[in-house]
Amino acid sequence: MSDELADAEKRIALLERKLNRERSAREEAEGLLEQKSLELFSRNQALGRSNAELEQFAYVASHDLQAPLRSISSFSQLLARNERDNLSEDGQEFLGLINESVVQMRQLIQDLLAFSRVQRDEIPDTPVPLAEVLADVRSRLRAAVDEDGAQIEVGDMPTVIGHSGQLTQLFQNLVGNGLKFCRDGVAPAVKVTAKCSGGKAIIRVEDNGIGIAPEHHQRVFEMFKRLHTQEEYEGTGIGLALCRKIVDRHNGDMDLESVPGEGTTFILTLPLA
Amino acid sequence: MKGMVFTEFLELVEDRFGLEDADAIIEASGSEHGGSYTAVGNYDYKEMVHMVVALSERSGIAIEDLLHVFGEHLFTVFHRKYGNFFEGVESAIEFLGSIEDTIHVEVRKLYPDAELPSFAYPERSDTRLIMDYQSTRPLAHFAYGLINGCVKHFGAPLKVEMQDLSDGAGTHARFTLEQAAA
Repeated sequence: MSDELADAEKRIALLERKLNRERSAREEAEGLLEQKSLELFSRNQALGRSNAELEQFAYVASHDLQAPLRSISSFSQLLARNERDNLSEDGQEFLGLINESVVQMRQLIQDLLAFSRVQRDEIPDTPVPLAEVLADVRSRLRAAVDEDGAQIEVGDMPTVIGHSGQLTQLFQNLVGNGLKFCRDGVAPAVKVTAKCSGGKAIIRVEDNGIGIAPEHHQRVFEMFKRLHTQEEYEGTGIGLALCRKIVDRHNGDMDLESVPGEGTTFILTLPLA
Repeated sequence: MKGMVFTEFLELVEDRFGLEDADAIIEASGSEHGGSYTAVGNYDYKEMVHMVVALSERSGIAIEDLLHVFGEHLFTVFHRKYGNFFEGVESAIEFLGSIEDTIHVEVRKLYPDAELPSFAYPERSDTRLIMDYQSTRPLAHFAYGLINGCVKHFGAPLKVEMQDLSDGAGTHARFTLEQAAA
C-alpha cells in the first residue's frame, strides 16, 4: 500500500512539474505574441506611411507629366502642319513616331492617374445600381461595338454598395478587354450576369476572346504586366491592376477562369446594397 | 533551434518512454528554461543535444538511433503542419531535391532567424539522388531520420544510405537515395 502511495505521490509530483513547465511555456508564448503584435502594428504603420507617400508621388508625377507632354504634342503637331514640306521623308516618319509615342504616353499617364485616384477616393456608403453602370459602359463602348460587330449582353443586375465612378471604370475595363482581346475572325461577345448570395453580388463577365494561359492567371493583375506586344494589342498593362484595386477598395474579391482560345470569365464579388 | 522541435521531441519521449523519463532528461540536461518550451520560441540547440545525450544514457539507445527516430517522427509533423509544401509533389526524390532551393527559401520567409543546414546535389535523376548535408550542428543522423521519414511517406521503394564525411562528427554527410530494384 505504501509503495502504491509513493508511486502516486511521485506521479503527482511529475504531473505538477509538467503543468508548471506548460504554464511557463504558455506565459512565454503570450509574451512573444504580444511582442510580435507590437512589431506588426509598428511595421503596418510604417508601411501605411510609405504607401501613402508612394501614392502621392505617383499622383504628382503623373499629373505634372501632363504639361510637358501637352507641349510635345502641340509642337509636333505644329511641325507636322507648318513644316511638313521642309522635312525629309525620314523626318516625317520620325515625327509620326513621336506622335504615336505621345498618344501612348498620354494613355499611360491617364491610367496611372486613375490608379492613384482609386486609392485616394473614399468609397461612399452609396447604393449603386449595376444596371445603370452597365448601361453607361455600353454607351461608352458603342464605337468599339459598332466597329467590330461586337455583342454585349447584360443580364439582371443587382444594386451594390460603392463608388459609382470606380465601378463604371471597373466594368468598362473588363468589358472593354473582352472586346479588345478577340480572336481573328470571331466577332467579340461579352456576357455579364449576376447572382446574389450571402449579402454579396457575384458577377461574371464572360468573353469569347483569346483567353489567358493558366500560368498567367494571377500575373495579369500585376501592374504593367502585359502578355502581348503593343503591335498585337494596344494597352498600358494597368487595366486589370486597376480593376483589382477597385474591387479591393470595395471589400470584394476578383478571380478569373479562362481557356486559351475559348475565352475568359472574370468573377467579381461585391457587397450588396 | 525552433521551439517546435523541442516540444515535439518531449512529446515523443513522453509517448514512447513515459512522463518520468521525459522529466528526468529535462532535469539532467540542466535546461535554463527548466524544460518549459513553447513551439513559437527559439532555444539553443545545445539544450536539445543535452536532452538526447541524457535520454541515450538513461535508455541505453545510441544517440544516432534516437536522432534518427526523432527525425522520422518530425517529418510526419512537418507534413501535417506544412502540407502546402507538398502540394503537387509526387515523389520523395522530387521533394528532397527541392529542399535547398524551394523549401528552405520558403522557411526563411516564415522564419527569417531560422538556422538551416545546407544541401548540395552532386547528382540527381528521377531514380537516384545524392544529397550532401552540411551544418554547423552535429545533426546528420537527425537529417537521416527526416529523409527516411520522407521516403516512407511517399511509399516508393527507395534505398537510403548515409556516409559521414566529418569523421563521425555528424556535421557533414552524403545521402544517396536510389530506387530499389523491383
